[in-house]
Amino acid sequence: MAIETTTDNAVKAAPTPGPSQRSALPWLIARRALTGLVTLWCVSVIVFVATQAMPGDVAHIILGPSASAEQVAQLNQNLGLDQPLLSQYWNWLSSVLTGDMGDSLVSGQPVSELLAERIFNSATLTAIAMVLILPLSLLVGLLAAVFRDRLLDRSYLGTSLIVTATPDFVIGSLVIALFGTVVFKVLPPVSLIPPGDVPWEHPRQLVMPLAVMVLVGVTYLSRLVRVSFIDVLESEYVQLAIIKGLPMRRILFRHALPNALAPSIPAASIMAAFTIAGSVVIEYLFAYPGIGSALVDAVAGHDLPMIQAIIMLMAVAFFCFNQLADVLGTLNKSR
Amino acid sequence: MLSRLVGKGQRSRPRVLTAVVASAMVVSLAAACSGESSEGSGGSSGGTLRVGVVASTISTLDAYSNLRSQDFYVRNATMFEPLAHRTKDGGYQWALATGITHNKDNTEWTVKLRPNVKFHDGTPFGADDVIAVFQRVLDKKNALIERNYIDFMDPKGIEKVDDLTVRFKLPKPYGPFEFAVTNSNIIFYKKGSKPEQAMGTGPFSLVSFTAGRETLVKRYDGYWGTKPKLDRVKIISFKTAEASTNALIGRQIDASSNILQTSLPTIEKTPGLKVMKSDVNLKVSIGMRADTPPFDDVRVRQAMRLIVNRKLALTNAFDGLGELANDHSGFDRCLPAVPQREQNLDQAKKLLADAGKSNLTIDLRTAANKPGMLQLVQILAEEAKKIGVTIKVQKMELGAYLEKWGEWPFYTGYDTRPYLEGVPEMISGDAVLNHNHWDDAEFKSLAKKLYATADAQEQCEIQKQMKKIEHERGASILTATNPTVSVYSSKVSGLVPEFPSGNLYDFTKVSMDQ
Repeated sequence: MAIETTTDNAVKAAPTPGPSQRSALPWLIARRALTGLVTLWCVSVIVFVATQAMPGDVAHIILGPSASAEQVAQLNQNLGLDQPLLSQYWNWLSSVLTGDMGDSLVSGQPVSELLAERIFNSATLTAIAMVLILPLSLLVGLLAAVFRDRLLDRSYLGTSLIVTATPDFVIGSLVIALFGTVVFKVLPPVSLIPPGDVPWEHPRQLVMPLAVMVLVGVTYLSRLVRVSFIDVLESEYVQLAIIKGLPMRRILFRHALPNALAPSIPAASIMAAFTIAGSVVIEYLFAYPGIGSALVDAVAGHDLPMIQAIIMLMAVAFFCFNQLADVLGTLNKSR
Repeated sequence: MLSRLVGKGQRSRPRVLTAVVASAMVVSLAAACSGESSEGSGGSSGGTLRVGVVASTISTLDAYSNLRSQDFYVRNATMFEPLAHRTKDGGYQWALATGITHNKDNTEWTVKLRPNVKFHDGTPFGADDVIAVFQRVLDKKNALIERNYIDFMDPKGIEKVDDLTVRFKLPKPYGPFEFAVTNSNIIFYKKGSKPEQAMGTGPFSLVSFTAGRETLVKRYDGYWGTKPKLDRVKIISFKTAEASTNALIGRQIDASSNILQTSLPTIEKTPGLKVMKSDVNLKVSIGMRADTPPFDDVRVRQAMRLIVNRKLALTNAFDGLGELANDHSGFDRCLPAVPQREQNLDQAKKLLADAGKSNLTIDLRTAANKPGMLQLVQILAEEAKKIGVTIKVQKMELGAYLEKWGEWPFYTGYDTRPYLEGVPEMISGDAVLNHNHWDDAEFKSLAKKLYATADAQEQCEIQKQMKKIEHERGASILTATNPTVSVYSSKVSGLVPEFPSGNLYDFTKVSMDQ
């Protein structure tokens, strides 16, 4: 994963809600909501255009090479794919505006039915991953900053560089071979969550996908935490505290931590957004029954309503986390 | 790398852009990611067998769903039945039918149905159900592939004689009627039932289904045949053969025919797992469009067949699994008396020179959608270089590849069909079905005779002549025939590879050590 956030900019970007601005708050909320809607609309148009631009059509993919031209044409007609593109898009958009995400082109089943449980599973995986990533990043970042330029810090920086530069898919495959199929065989290599069960009822199935997500997340976020801590530790007030002879533990946790955390929190929100996007690879690799693996299938089958629904969900989550980053940045600045 | 550049007065656009770009990244990412039996008759009855299959998230319970991944076939085989099962010797093991008779000129066929067969809801199976299924398959609006196998029928010519007898009046004589109507995909459900009920007559009935994840079936105690020993079969869906293989090694499933062949060495060393190979049933082919230069010259087609090193292909592309093929369709029955074609680069070079195509350069397109396909074309390309022929291998995404299926001049495909099912496509005027556009008058004439006779011996003799023509001047390079490889836990016994697919479909004789 390669993410670069300018957290200082995020902090600066957020307006400080003083008394003079309170009257403008409804307008601000309305403007952001409108921005969100425009964003989602743009996403839907791009996904529609991108799907149409993909080579091959649904009927060919469904029927395979044994289908005659007549059968392909008939299926295209049955699916409504013989209509003009604008008409197809308008049909989809008008359904969405009435709360109907449409039916899968391939199976004919409602998209909401196909995705309901998968959304919950993906949200669970991402939430658990974030709950683990945040404190671990803090701890690792803090230790690396305290032991700056020593063996521990250099080892950590080298390792995190390797992990960040390695694709999630490769890390996942190595973890599967190491702990699931070739070397130790101590963990289930595939995340089989039976339909109807909630993921946390099968903790062993979650270990490997979570391990990869956490490893990738922590190596990224902890570096930001490390940099923030180093900045704070070099600041005049911390240096003064050291000269005054305050205990190191107190300096670190009482004085340095709150200030070091501030720039990292908006970054953590963005991190959460990217974790959602990154779950596509992890779910596919571990056969985890979430929306990520469903998206891979939908793209392969050119199943537009499914693709639209999943991407829109991800876009909403991404947008929300962006807003959260702004709010946290604003609160920090006002503090 | 994404940079979040947010500043006062320019917030909206970059945020819109960021979300849009991120979404596009996610779409791109997703696009990058489409004969033996298990020995021993021991094992106690009961238990749940967990079978791994590769399946789509959007599969459905409909017995005639247009979307067909492996879960579709396994699920259907447990809950539905055909009129008969084809056997290796070319005969039939009757299932929902007990016999088929015909008149002298093969224009009227009568199917007698098995009495006392009940659907999973206890209602009797009969002629009305059979007629409803054939009408659905023949209805062009449904765009079902099965219509290709029975399009010699007139929907209006199907009539009910009594509750257990159906008569088919054909517009013209058709000899291999039994073969056509016993296609394993022509299966029967209760007339008027909903697809989600999966109301069949098979040895197992539906308990639950979650698209792309799991189908659970239980033993049907009202089954007319030998009742299964197992209590339940859980058909677990995976996105990839890699995941299915990993689940087998991790003991998360008990059996699967969808395994990664390159993992076989690891699997063979894994205690508690056994490997089962079926009879050969798959031919990966390289097609040459016979109506387009350079392949409209039979000498060029023959040269290409002489360039490929079949033994190397079998060893390196197909992991040594299977047998050499000899440039004709069909599998191990009714083989022509022609010698096995060997690599002969000198003769290939001479044929190309005679055709004025020395130093030929040509693109070969493949979707690499079967194991060994990409390696096979790479082997061909490497061998071709030795005589100055340049074959540029182009690997394509499956959707794009299929969009121009029937137009590619040099391409890969595969065939798993029995000969009688494949020939109609080979003589078809449809550019998609007859994808190599091979048009041979003698072959067509023999095909006409083949489908006019109902005599199995005569059919076999005609097939031999047709295969000989394919070998001599056909438009496909067929290098090897491969088996289906299944892997199962040593606590499972009674598994049998289904004929002809070689997959694990029949669980009626399976038992498990508890």
